[in-house]
Amino acid sequence: MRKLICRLSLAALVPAGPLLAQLAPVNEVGLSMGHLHLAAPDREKEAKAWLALGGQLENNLSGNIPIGFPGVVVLIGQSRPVSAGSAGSLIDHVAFRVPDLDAALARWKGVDTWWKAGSWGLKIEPGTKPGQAFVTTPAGTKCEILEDKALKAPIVFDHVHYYVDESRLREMEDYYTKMFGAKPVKGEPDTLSMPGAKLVFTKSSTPTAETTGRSLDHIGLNMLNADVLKALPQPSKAKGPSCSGLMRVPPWG
Amino acid sequence: MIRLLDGFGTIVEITKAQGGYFDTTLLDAAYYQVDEGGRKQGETPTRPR
Repeated sequence: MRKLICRLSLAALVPAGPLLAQLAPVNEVGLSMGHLHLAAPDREKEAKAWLALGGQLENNLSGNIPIGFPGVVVLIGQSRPVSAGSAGSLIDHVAFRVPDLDAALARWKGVDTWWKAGSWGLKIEPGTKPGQAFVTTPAGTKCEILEDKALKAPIVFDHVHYYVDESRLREMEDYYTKMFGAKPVKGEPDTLSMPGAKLVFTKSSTPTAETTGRSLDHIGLNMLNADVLKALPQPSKAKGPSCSGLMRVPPWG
Repeated sequence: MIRLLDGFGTIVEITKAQGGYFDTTLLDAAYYQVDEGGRKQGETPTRPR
């Protein structure tokens, strides 16, 4: 009996571990949200910042540093200069949800002791509405943080936020719907849903820059198998300029 | 893996079995792992070592 009490006491002392991160199951097209591919001048510093945000170091399958969150894996490529941060580009920012915003922001501000004021290199800015804040990583990737009190995990991926010229907004939404099987979200205009993430589109009054070369270089989708590619609309059949370019060889792997 | 230029200013990379980052059992069967000698799992050596 004494042993049992001892074991139960020890079990109560051990905190429950965070939920294991994983990608969402694919949709009927065979796709789900996959990764965010980042570049950074100092990728170790960038990786520490993403780990401080709540990511976990995952299996190393490539030359990138993989940091997993529920719904997405952040891949930090080899250290190289970036042209700018994500803000001002087509993908202005990405968003995560946390159960307690104030607690999360306090954690991300870093340690502040009498001998050292240390931070994780994260720049924290207030949001424009309650339950919202913005965090920018050392390399310049802007993250919107939203509070979701019902959330059970410490942090989960929420959406990719595109800023696009008004004249091309509808065209872009159609493209992501037809190509990747994204579906409109009821009650949320200009928002599409993919397994693992939402794709939010906002009109931009100023032209937005291409993402390539910036800290958030591109996003990636996870596919079930190679047959998914056969089902994708082919460039000659699909409408619009958006399907004009297919290339298979990545410049940096 | 394929990299798709969306024509709006970004690239969408489509890769299979990215769940392998979280769990290696989710890796595609074609993504085999080899030992120091370059053998796949279950593969017998072609000559005695």
